[in-house]
Amino acid sequence: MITVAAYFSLSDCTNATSTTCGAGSFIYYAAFVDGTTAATTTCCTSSANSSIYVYCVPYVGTGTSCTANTITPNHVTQAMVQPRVQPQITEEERERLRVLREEQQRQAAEERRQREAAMGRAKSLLLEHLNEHQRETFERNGWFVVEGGKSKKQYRINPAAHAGNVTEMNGDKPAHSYCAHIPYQFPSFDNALAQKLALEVDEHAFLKVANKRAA
Amino acid sequence: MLHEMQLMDTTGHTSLTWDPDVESEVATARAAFEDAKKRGLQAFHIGKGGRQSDRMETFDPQAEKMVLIPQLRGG
Repeated sequence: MITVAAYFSLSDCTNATSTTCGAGSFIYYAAFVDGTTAATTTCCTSSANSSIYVYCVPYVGTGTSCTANTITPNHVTQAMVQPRVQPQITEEERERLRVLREEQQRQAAEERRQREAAMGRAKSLLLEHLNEHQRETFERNGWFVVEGGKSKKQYRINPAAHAGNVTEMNGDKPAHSYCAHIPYQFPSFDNALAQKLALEVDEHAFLKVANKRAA
Repeated sequence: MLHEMQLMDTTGHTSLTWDPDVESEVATARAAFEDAKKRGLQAFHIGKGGRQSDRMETFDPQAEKMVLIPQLRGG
């Protein structure tokens, strides 16, 4: 029984016009759907028939030239013939795929729009809860500083990151960073506001849950 | 003057306002507050005019502004 070892597309055949055959090597045949073989050692027979299957089978001859007689359709069962060439799709299927692709693109655009709208709303909410100095710092640097409600330490909050974005300041120098945040599906500006409120109102609770690292 | 509750959610936030003199509006706001607390959100009463903000465990219809945020977790 001949094992079909590999499959090639029609474009592969154009490079296989001279094939050296020997024990263990492969020859290429183009076969029509009805099982007849092309009487040639080259792959590229008439491509008018779009149902050409191309397959590669082990050489079973004894010479160095490949002939069509070496392999006959009888040696290859229908189950072994699997075309690499894409089967033709119907117009109906093409239309179905087009509609599906458009729907996926529409959904992706809508999700992007919703994410951007949520970020905008969250940023407005954060700005509403900053004092004038915090707002100016944020507009200038992208971060703002809050005072710990208990210790009066200064904490810099950077809304660009969701985690590890709270830094305890020692003057102008960062001393430690803290990681405590709300779930990631919330916009990062909401996260920054939550951190601000927690530090100002219940600093101890924030520090208890936050992971502390050297800055 | 209308009082306001801001509930954080994945759309950014949802705002709910109520007139503390209108019982039905207070009831709606209270229900929203209690539902949020059941879902694990923390409530903060936002201080105004120099007043410090603080936590809220129960709904206060006289609180002019409150923000409800999800729990913070260590990361």
